[in-house]
Amino acid sequence: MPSISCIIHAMSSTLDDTIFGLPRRPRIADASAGTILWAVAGGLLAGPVGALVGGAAGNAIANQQQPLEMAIREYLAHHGFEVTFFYPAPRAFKVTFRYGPTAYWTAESIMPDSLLHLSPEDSADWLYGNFVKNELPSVLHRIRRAS
Amino acid sequence: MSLDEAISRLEALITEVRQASLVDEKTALGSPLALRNEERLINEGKSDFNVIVFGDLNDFKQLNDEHTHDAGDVGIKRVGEIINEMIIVDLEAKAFRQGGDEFVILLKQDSVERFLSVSSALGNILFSHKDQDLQTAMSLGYAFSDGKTSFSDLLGRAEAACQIAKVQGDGVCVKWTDETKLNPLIRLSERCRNCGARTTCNIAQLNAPPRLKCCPSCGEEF
Repeated sequence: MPSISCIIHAMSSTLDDTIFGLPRRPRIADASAGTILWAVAGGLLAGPVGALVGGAAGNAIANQQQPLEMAIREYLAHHGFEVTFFYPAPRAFKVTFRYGPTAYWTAESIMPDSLLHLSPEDSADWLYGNFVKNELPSVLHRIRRAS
Repeated sequence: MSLDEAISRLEALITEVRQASLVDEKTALGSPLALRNEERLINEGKSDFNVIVFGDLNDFKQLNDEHTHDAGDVGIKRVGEIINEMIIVDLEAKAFRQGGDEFVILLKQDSVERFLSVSSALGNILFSHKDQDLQTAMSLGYAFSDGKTSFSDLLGRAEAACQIAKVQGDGVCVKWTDETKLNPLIRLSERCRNCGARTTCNIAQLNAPPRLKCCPSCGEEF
């Protein structure tokens, strides 16, 4: 009989776009050209730039999910914020971003111990989803209230 | 993949790694390795730069301790941006983060006056982190190359001048002279037996008392 954690793992690892109700990381093909170029230059992505930019249909790399740092950078850039520092950890990350000429904020996403069983890919998805759905909105609220 | 292709890919990779290793990831200034490369050129007389400036942030540990290392990193980043805008671009200088909160700037002799006119901006670097208004500041020392002194010794002179600048205040830039050598700063430190506070200060050696007298926190004699 499969353990509960195996069942949860199976539930969380479906091809669904969500994990425990949180959005998974987008595909590389969905990223802006600027972020792709940054990721190639930074060594996060390997492969011919031309095949990545524009995400040629059926291209295996373009259909992969964005690395966590790239996905966070892309998401924040979409909201007009520039990532200054990204601090990864196995089950957490912190990101410092700039929201004004000299104004910065550091936010983090931390996985609870109850999700220790997740695979590295699912962990990255959960950290991303938790950041964009839970952590960042509360930070944005505080930033708006402060400014 | 042919052997030639594999070799050229490997060479391209080595070039990428080498370039990345020359850039400091927190500030985009030069890395310690890039500084070592410049050091070699200066020691071989092949560099255009003949003024070595050393600066470090004042009370940086306090910034880290009171406002987290995240805020400290932002402070380092802001310093790098200001050095880049005001010194590297405008004065055609080179700048490096040597490690921690220590920066080294290389100037050409004819840009020293302009450098001194803008360096006070490094005495009040403002930024906010998590809606807290923060400030950091640098004091600097510099030394001219005489063509006979090694880079390492020149950097030591600039550091000694920086220690004097720190006593004089934020944003101060002090030139190393023979007097700096004859009357260097020494560090005196005492722990108060009454309140436990540690007091540390830098004092010019010739004027220095044998030891500190009173605790500035509680007023008791050490």
